[in-house]
Order: sequence, then C-alpha cells, then structure tokens
Amino acid sequence: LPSRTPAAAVSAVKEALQRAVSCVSSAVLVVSPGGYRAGDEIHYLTFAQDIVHLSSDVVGGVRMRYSYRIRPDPVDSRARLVICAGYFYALHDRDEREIVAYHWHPEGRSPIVTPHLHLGPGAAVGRLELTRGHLPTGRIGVSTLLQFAIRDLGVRPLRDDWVAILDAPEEPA
Amino acid sequence: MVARSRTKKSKAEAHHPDELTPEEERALQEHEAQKYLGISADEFVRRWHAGEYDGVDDSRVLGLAMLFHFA
Repeated sequence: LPSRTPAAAVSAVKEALQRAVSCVSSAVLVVSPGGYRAGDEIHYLTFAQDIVHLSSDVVGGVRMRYSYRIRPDPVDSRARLVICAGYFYALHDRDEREIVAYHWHPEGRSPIVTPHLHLGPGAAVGRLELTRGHLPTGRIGVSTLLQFAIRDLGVRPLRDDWVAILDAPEEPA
Repeated sequence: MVARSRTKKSKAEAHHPDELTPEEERALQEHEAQKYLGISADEFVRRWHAGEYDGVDDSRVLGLAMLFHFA
C-alpha cells in the first residue's frame, strides 16, 4: 500500500511479513542498512540469524530474504511504495539440507528470471532433471510458503489463529 | 535555518532499531560466505564481479548476492 514516507512503506511490508513469521517462530526480521530510505538501490529484509529453527519432524529451519526498492507511487508521487525486487525462501531439513527453495531474482546472474522452485538434497528426489531444474511457479509470498510448511510438512504453528493470518492478503509482491 | 536543515537530515537518516548496522551486515556476509561457499566475503565480491557466478542459480550464491544488494 502507498505510504506517506519511505520508512512507513517499509514498516508496513515488514509488519506483514513478521506477522506471517509469528505463526511459526519468534524470530525477528531486520532491515538492511539504509533500508528505510528511498533511493535506487536494492534493500532487503532478512532474519538476523542465518537459519531460523522451526518445530517439525521434517523441517529443521527456514531461510528467508526479501529484496525491494522504494519507489514513488505512480498515482500520488508524494507517496511511497515498496516494490519487491526478488526473494529467496528455503526450507531445510534437520541436517540443514535444503528441501525446497523458492527463488525469484530478476536482477541476479542467473538466466532464469521468472519465479521458480528448486528441489534440494533434503527433498530426496532421485531424478537429476528435477534436482537441477527450475520448476516454474507464480510469485510466492512468505504466507504461502508457511501455509505449505504447516499443512504439508508438519511444521507446528505457534498460534491458534495461523489460518486467518496466513490467509490474509499477502505482502506486496 | 541551518539548524532546521540539520534536524531534518538527522531525522531522515535516523537509524531504526531493527535496521542492521553496516558492521552487522558485514558480519552476516562473512558468516554466510564462509559457511556456504568456504570463502571470504571479499572473495565472493571479487568472483561476482569477475563473472564467475554468471549462470549460477543456487541458494548459496543468491542468498549472499542479496546480502550484498546485488539481487
């Protein structure tokens, strides 16, 4: 949503992401240096630690990074919008092997610039074409990832209202 | 007038409590470069700019690239 200041725009996105994360962890998201200030550079949101532990027999933890730019709202140039510039969400098994990783990196060094999924060693998929592949996806938000983790991978939610929270409209993509 | 300008600037550049300091970011970069690639953060930047990660699409490189504001 458009906000009056760059900091308010970033705070709104961060709060939405943090609310989703609170369904499975008390870990806190942090903003990159200068990430509350407008400019052309890419900023990011991430956890302060590398892998955040999740309570599950299958999933040991999650890594998350959400990069963005702060842009003027095309409708109201005084307002500011956070525009997602890419993301990386990965679920790891209890031995820290990657199970799945959702990527979108339109500005990286990979020729794959559309959103996709990687199946990691923790997925225990034997077919090489799949483990090396970039499985196409739509744009995925943190809420969608965590719904999948809870419903299909046995991650234990920390709050009773997780369905309502994760069903809420996603963070801006 | 000068004082007001300074106040505005300091407000705009105020550090938020949940904002990494450059030193904290540097520590994250170093930690992940060592853990996932077995190299220093400086070496990662050198390899990135040398094009050694062109075409590479994995979480170890992407995660670091984001920490360096490259992606």
